[in-house]
Amino acid sequence: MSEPSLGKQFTNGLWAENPVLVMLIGMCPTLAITNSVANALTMGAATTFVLICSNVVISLLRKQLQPHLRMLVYMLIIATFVTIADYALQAYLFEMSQALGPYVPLIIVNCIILARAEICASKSGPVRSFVDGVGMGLGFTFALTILGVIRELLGMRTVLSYQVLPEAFVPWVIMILPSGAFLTLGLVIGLVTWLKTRKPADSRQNKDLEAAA
Amino acid sequence: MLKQIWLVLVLSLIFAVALAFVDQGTAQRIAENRQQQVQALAQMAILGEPAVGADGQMQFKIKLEPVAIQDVQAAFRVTPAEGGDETLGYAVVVEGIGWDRLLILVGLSPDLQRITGVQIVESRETPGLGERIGDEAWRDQFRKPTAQPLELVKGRAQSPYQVEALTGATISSDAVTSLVNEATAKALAQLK
Repeated sequence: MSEPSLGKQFTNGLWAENPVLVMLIGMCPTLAITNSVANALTMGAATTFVLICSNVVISLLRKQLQPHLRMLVYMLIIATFVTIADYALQAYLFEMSQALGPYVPLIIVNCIILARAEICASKSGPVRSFVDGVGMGLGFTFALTILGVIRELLGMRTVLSYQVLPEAFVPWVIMILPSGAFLTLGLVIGLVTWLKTRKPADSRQNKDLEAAA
Repeated sequence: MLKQIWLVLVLSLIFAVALAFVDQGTAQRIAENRQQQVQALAQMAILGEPAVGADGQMQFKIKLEPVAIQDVQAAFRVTPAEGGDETLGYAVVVEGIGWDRLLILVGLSPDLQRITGVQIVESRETPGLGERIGDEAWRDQFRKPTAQPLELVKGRAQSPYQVEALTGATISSDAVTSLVNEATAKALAQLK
């Protein structure tokens, strides 16, 4: 099996295998902290940082790792980078770290990071693992931001705290509550699945037409 | 097998050292952030003036001097930032439970006869419902004399010592009211 090109590895995380919208992993932070765009962006950035660092370090160590100890080493590496991200947020983005609460330390158990360690970093070189981390991290941030924009706009009339909708629009409080997260996520995943499956259906139809002709 | 155990041990050691450096680099800033947050809230509760200037920089008109009150998170005597020993008021931080951990700051006048303001230090109540304890209009109700404990009522307040509960957020309102009462009672008993 040949490896995909680096460019493909990168876009893989953004769209084809977007961790949230296609693979449906990392649902806990997705549902919990997308009630505002600022939260979504900060969470996305912190997770991307951890993902890139852990991917590269695991890739460098991959030849030393033996099956029975690999999970232990993964957790050790991931926990270290999450702690660094958590301290950095508390020191330089204090209000944001208060808003995110326990969800920053919980990046340790975000299954996107463990999945990429297992699927990509433990089998590929550091460059590919780095590209994979960037792609997957941006894909995660992209998905969170979409949810954040929709929920903040309808739930608080704002985007990044700037008022967008007029005063006359009554905020839909449900959008910033957990149920709003489930509703929005479901609709966005539905939309993405529709977009992804539309093309093959079209081409199949074309082939049928050609065959008929 | 043995090589693998060494790998884990060596990695743990490297990461622990790295984290120690990160901790050393950020600990002071994190402590300052927490202290500034309390100072800004205390200024708001005592003077009613926000500590963030037009340029987004923190500018404090007050200083905090710790005072001893037992069984509260923290308590401070508030004095002017530019110097002088005049007491502007007292700030008491108390911890309790609403739907989750709740930390509030109660500002008291220098003679402890009035509550000058109530600020939320940390809360994780339900957005749109309990989180409205952060609304200034609602918290302003607590600016009352301290002669009697405050009582939470549903609907309209009938007496000066009653506070109106937020509709749909009785538990959060109740948690704040009892924390305010706790803070004032302890300050009155111990600061005389």
